[in-house]
Amino acid sequence: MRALAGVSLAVAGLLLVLPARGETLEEGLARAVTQLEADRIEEALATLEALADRGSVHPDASFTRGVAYARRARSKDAAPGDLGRAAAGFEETLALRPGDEEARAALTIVRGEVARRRSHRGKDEVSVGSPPDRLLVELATERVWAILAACSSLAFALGLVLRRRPPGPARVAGVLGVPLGILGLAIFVPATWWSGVLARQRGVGVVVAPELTLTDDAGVRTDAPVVPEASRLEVGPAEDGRLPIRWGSYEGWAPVGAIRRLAR
Amino acid sequence: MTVGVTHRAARWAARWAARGVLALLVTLALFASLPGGRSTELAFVPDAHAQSRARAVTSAPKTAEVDAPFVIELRVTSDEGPLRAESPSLTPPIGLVVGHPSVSFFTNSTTINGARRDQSEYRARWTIRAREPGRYSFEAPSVTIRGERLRGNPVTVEVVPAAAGGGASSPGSQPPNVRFQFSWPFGSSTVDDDPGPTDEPVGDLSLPAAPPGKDAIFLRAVADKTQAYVGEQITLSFYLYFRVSEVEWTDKTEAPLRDFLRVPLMRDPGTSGTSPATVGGRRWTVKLLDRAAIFPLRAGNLSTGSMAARFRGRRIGSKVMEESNDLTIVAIEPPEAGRPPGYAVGDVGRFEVESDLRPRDARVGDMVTATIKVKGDGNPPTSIRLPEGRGIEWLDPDKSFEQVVRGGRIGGVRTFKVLGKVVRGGYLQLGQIEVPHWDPQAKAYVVAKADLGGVRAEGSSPAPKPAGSAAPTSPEEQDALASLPAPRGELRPFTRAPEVSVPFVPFLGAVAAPPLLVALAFLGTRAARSARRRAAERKEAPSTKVQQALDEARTADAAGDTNAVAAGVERAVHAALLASTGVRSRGARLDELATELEAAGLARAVADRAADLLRAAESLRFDPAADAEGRSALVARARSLAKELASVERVQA
Repeated sequence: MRALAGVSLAVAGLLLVLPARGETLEEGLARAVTQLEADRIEEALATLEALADRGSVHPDASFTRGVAYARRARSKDAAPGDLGRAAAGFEETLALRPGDEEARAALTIVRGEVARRRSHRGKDEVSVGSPPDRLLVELATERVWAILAACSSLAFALGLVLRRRPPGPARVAGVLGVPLGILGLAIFVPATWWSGVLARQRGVGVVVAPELTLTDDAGVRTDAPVVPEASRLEVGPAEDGRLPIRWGSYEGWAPVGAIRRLAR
Repeated sequence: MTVGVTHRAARWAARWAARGVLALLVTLALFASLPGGRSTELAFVPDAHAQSRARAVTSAPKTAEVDAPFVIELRVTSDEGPLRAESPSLTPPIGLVVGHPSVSFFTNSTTINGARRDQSEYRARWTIRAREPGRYSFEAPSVTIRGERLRGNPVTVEVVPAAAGGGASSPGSQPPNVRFQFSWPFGSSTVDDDPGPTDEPVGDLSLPAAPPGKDAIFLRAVADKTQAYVGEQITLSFYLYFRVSEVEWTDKTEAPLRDFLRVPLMRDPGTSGTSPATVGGRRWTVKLLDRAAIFPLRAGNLSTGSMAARFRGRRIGSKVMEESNDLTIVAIEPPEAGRPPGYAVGDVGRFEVESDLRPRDARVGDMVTATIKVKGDGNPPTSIRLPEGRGIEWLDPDKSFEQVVRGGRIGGVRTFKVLGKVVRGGYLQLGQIEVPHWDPQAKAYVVAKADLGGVRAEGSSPAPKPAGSAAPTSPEEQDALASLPAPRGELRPFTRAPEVSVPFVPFLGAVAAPPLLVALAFLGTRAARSARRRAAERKEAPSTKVQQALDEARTADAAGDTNAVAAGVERAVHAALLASTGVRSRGARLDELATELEAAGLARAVADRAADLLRAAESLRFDPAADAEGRSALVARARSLAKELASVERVQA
């Protein structure tokens, strides 16, 4: 009887936390904000995470989730990795809505707080930029690279035609068009391919553990520095409970639970 | 003509093949520059720099004298902790006497802004004598570091005959002048970094007596002062006193200096010159082995500890251990009287402050950056206080330190970069930065100041934070995270960007299509032109003309036109003869034609038949009684002859 009562209570609690059947994202978000305003941070987080698990993706929901984790990080119930989860929320907001300056400022504050706490623990600020290939291909989308490659192909083909014309502007255009077309093809075709690989196979994640140590295939720590909480990483598909990570020029593996993938 | 066309086509193909190869190479190079990976999945390759970061350099004197020892030194430095070096190897040229190498290790640990850095150095030194003058080239000496063979650089030494009455210090008898390889342990030095006279004696090096039991060699530690303020620089020097002709330093253990921060002042310890000094009334030679700036970290009677080193020499034996004296430094704190607010014990020196703040125009919620530089001689403060409550919430600063050594005194620039969030609108006067410190020369507290200026902030203050948040764990945390905006309860319009993926194989096809289409068009045009040319050639061919003439003769025969039959037969025969023999028979006399054709290589019988046929055609033309049978017979004879001449043409071809 007592066991039955316990199970009933648990189910009731779960029902309070989980989004109601048919609850829209807007309703769920409003409920989470109400819970936050009532200082029921845990319930708000459960609501927001349930919305995310349901596949509801919206920059404002991600933003509110970031704020909720940041509030828990300030509270006495703070859990390790809360600042990282807060940063993940704001990063996700920016990934979905790149012009969200409020999220950008919030992310700066959270990262500053992480750096401050690390500094208090005697740990240095570690700053690692994006790898150069990602910087290059992120200059434009895969479609833009593909269009540029197609334009290069057309320039090459047109150049082949025009360079047979009698001397004049058309022939000059043809003489220039052929090498430029070849150069464009040599640049834009690989860029299209690599941009597609990055877009399809490599996502972006944020460290949601106090710090992260990269390991090699054999599980041995690499010479990469410890990755601080809230750091942004490039993440590949999971294998055996591990995620392949690229952090600047460093590569290695990390436990799945230490990284939060951003929705795209 | 056909050969010319083929040649042009081959050149065109070769030119474009070369261009294609070039484009392919560029493409491959670009692919190669991308991170390694399987085509469809991530591949993570361990970093190459995980192998080793040790660097090796060899040094040797450029010249040496015959029979005078000189030293070749292999120096390996690493910033990855202790070096495990073994099996140093040097292969000398024939004619040189090389002893076993002496090896030494040095380690140095420093902590800057909380970051510990371990640097190690390994040296292997070979003492070499040459018995004959000449130019000796040494292969690169090597040593095994962490299982890998690391090589220095090859060196060449010119050995010259010994000078008459050669002095005691031949060029090679001094330690080699090794280029400094150790990266400066206290951050990046400025270009005006001047080590200064680091090997000048601190004071008089003479002693009333040598330490008990030391009659040939001993080590002595000398400090420029025995009392200092906490954080004030003391220059600590280690001298080697010796009375033997040759002493070689094999290895060294640094003084522990547990209560001090140590900054090396000599870039190449042990390579300074020697000077004489009187010890107990006797003349000794003194050599500066090492010198460091040390800073007391606490107040009290602080022991430096002893430096230990091993030496070997002709009269003292090998691996003689010597220890320096242990010095006691009395470290005191600056007086509490008159101590300015914010002063931290250890902030000793002479400093000035500069500040810069950007941007000066901002909106509420924007971030501004203040850059504060504290520079001067001594140990600059490691923290600063920024004015609070002026409309900007400051985050923790990012610090960096640029160490400078001038004249043996340590100084530098500590830079604080501080992010601040504008939380209030209007013109914000930010106040002054104050850096209180103790000036040991003036024996007074000094407060260096710099004005931060103001920021013009547009907008109004954000709404107060929603109530109900849990208590922050510390006021600092409250400051940092409390400024986060409120959660969003409403969904603003948002359209999720569709995932557009470019299928790569069709994409490649689309990219390849235009050039391929152009190439196909070129080939088609070329083929059509070639076909037209061949048709024209066929039309002008003699065999074609023969056939046309025969056809006309047959038509005329059917029409009963005797003259036309005769004309057609004549044209056919002339064309056939031209094709088979090259003889233009139209202008030739008929009675000489057979002979001419025979001379052109045609059988006499055939030539006679051709001449007869032409005569018959001519006769037919003027025969008023010519009938259809005669015309048909003439056409048949012409056809038969044309066939025969065609076979002759094929044989000749």
